[in-house]
Amino acid sequence: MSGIFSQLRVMFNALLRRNKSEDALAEEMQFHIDQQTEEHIAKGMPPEKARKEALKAFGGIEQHKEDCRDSWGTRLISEFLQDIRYGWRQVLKHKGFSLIVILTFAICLGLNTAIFNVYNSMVWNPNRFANEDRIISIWEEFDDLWGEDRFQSSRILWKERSEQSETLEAIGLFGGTWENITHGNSEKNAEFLGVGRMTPSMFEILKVAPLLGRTFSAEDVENEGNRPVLLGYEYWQNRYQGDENVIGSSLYINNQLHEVIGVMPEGFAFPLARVSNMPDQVYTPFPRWEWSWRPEFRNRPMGFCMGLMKTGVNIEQVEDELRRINVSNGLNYPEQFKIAQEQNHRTELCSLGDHIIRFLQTELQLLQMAVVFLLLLGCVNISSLIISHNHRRMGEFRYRYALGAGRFRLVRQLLTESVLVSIISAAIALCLSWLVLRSLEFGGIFDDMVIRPRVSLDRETWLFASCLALFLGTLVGFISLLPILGKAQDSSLADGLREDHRTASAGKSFKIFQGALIATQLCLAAVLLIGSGLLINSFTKILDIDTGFDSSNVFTAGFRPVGTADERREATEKFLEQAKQIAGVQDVAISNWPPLKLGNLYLRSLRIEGSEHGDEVMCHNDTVSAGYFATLGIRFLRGRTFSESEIQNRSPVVVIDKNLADLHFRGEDPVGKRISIPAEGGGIATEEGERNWLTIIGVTETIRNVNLLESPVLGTAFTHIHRQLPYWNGVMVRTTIRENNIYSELESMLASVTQKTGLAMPAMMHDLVDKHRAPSKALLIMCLIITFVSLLLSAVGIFGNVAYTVVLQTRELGIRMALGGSRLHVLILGIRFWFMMVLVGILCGSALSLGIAPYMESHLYNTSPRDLITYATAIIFLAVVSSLACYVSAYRIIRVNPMVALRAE
Amino acid sequence: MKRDKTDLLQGTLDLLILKTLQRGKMHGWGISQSIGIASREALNVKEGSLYPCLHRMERQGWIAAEWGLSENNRKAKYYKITPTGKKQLEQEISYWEQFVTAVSLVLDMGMQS
Repeated sequence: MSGIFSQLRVMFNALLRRNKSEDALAEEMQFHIDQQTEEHIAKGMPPEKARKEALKAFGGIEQHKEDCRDSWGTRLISEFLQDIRYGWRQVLKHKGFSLIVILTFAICLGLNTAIFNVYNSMVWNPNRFANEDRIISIWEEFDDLWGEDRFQSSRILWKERSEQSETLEAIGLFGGTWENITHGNSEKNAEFLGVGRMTPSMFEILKVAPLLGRTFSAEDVENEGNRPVLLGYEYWQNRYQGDENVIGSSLYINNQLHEVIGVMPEGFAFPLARVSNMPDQVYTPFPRWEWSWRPEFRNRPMGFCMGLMKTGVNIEQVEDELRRINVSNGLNYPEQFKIAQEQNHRTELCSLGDHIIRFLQTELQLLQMAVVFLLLLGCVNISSLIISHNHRRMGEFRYRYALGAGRFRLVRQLLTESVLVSIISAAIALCLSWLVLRSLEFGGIFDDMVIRPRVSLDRETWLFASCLALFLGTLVGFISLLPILGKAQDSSLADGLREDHRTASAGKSFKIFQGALIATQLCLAAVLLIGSGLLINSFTKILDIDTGFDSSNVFTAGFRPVGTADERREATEKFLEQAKQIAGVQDVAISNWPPLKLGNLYLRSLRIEGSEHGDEVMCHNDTVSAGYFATLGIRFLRGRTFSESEIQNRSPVVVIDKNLADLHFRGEDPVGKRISIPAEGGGIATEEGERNWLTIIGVTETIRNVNLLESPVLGTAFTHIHRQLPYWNGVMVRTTIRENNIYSELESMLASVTQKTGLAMPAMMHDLVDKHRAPSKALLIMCLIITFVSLLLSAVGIFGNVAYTVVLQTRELGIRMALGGSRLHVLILGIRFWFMMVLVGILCGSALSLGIAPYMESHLYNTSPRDLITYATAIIFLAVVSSLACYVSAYRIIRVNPMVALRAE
Repeated sequence: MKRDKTDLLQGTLDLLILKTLQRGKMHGWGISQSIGIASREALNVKEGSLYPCLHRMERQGWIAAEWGLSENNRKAKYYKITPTGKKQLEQEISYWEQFVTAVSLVLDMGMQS
């Protein structure tokens, strides 16, 4: 122990009390020499000689001192500190140069750090659930079953898996709906709330304990009498003011008594509910739905399926096992299994993170690619800047070498300088990335996104930025040392350092190296500019998508009338009538499906009169009131909406959209033709109902009702609400009144029309559309930032590098001019090589962009990855900047007196 | 060639310094004098190279240093042996003895044959 202490003490003194230690060392040795001298004098030697003898016997004092310093064990550290001090002085001495290098580095690092933070907080390490890395989402895929390919799982598949799987610890099923909730039979107005439904196993998977009470048990599911309900934290706070005695109290969901058994903790938001934009307020067990166990429901989507993998199991093993379970149990359902096989049924798994940001991930990946390219471009720029800077410092290196600094020592010092610069940049980069994220957040860019990235920089981000900066600092340091070390290979460093004195222009190997650097720079810049140009094109097109309906000034909400079918119908009619009377309301409509609003679809099997197609043809069925088309401004291509007499007579008529017409009436006029859609079926097409033929009376434009980005795959048939009342009424009101006012007006009106229901989910239609556009908007803004920075970087980098390399030839050009070369000739000679390198770089960059075009294709919306205009713009920009750089720098040389150019160093 | 002084074997300087300091605290010049006298001027300790050795041993914790006044009232750096140093000395002595025995055995072998 004492050994370590004395070691630390000596090192401490040597490092931090350097002057004191040096003085002590000198004094100690001086004492020795003086003592020896005195002894010689005492023996009768003359003083002068005595001193000389003593010094001779002692040996070289400076050498011994150096040996003592070595024995302190701090040489490496003190030299390192010295390098840092020296590097810092260099930074201060060349302020302009340092500023450009540090800013370039900081901007590139900062953008990378920002994207890393977004990615990390959304995909890699979102910290949403304890076991998130083991949670998987399970989907069923069928080829073209109903025109779609990704489906929720059926009840039967879920049960087979829960009983037979050995790779999964637990497997759960969940879904969501909207229901009327009251707190006592006497209560008049109901709340219309999001209800999450889940199997008890979901809590095992998510490993979330309730804040109060308990979660669902297997008994709750088996015993029909049990009707437990869990409260979400927010709802508990708002409705019960956080009352801890809430357990055991009761509430009514659609008039059915439920018992509160627990409260979920704050921040528990159901993962997929978040994606589908449904803020769950209460949770109930997954419904019993006895009918869902019938064989014909084996392939029918029933709920989202989620599993928790056992530790050490990978996703491929689970996939294999689930496939085996599918096949071995399929024999019990021969008919359904045959259909599934014909449709190429596959069970697909993905991690929860992938699932949640599925719609964002590809764009994020592209952005990440863009910032990585930007970083590469930045590094090449910085390397070339440092190389030219070092070239100017050759004189300094020469002196240091002559004074005895080893090559290793010089290399170490230059590396320290670049690492120092990178560390300063990293600090600025962290601030910058925080600033970028904060300003994006402040600008409301993330507001409309369903899952938001964390804006605060977490530990991983700090680590990422520091490690990346250190790595790149070292890398850039090494690259910029290559010309110096390269020279050392020819002969010795000293010769290399002298080289520029011996020849008229830069050395050949140096010229090739510099040329390669310029080509790389332009290649990267071209890829970056072309790529980001394409992305900007694509995002702009997403923001310009025509939804097919007019979303401005449309207020939407929903309610669910209770009672018998007649009571509900009456309430709906009254609501429509009275809403029209409100001043400022232009049009009112009711539908089961306000476009872009909810996450579940009404699918029906469709039969066309006279067609050989059976029931396997599917379509969306929206039940709407007559004013639906006028309220949303949906254009009719043929025919008209439901007439007053058709509504009163309950005539069997239907309006279809262009998609359905194109799919099933190719080229023929559908108006007057007849189709049949089963009327009942709990949201899913069940057995064949009585066939009632409906006459088509109109064809409308296809609207983006499910997804903003994709035109719906299936056609839509609009039937009147009289034919089948929606499970809940989506309200749409075209109005000039402000959102809050129309909401309260409609709500008080609703209370007078019907009881035990409330108006839920008020929103303006254009806000809903904006919400769907929000990710693209955020990405577009990030993309614009990246493009701007890359334009700036490539311009500065190319100018700096090309100008410098041309200037290197000053003396050569001077000689040529002194020997009588014409200005034009010398000018061409001066820039020929560099210009060729520029062209090579641009060509390589364009070729590389074409090479990654197939990868880009799937990420671009309505934009060709080989878009000529984008390519041309990027190439012309780069060519103009580089030509200008070549010309300006060469022109400056040939303009001066040849003799001045000759003397240039 | 006549050799009036023997160069030190590598590594023996530590042993000599520790042994010398066992007698009490001493400054660098004192140590070199003491070794000279004890060996009857037979061992050649290069005076300057004593100091790097002393500094290293101080860092290793075998000896400790403090400033004091010399016989002629000058400021001098005195070294003294530490407990760790004493243990090290024992070890060094036993190494040395092993070494001497081994070398003597080799030399004796020639005599016996």
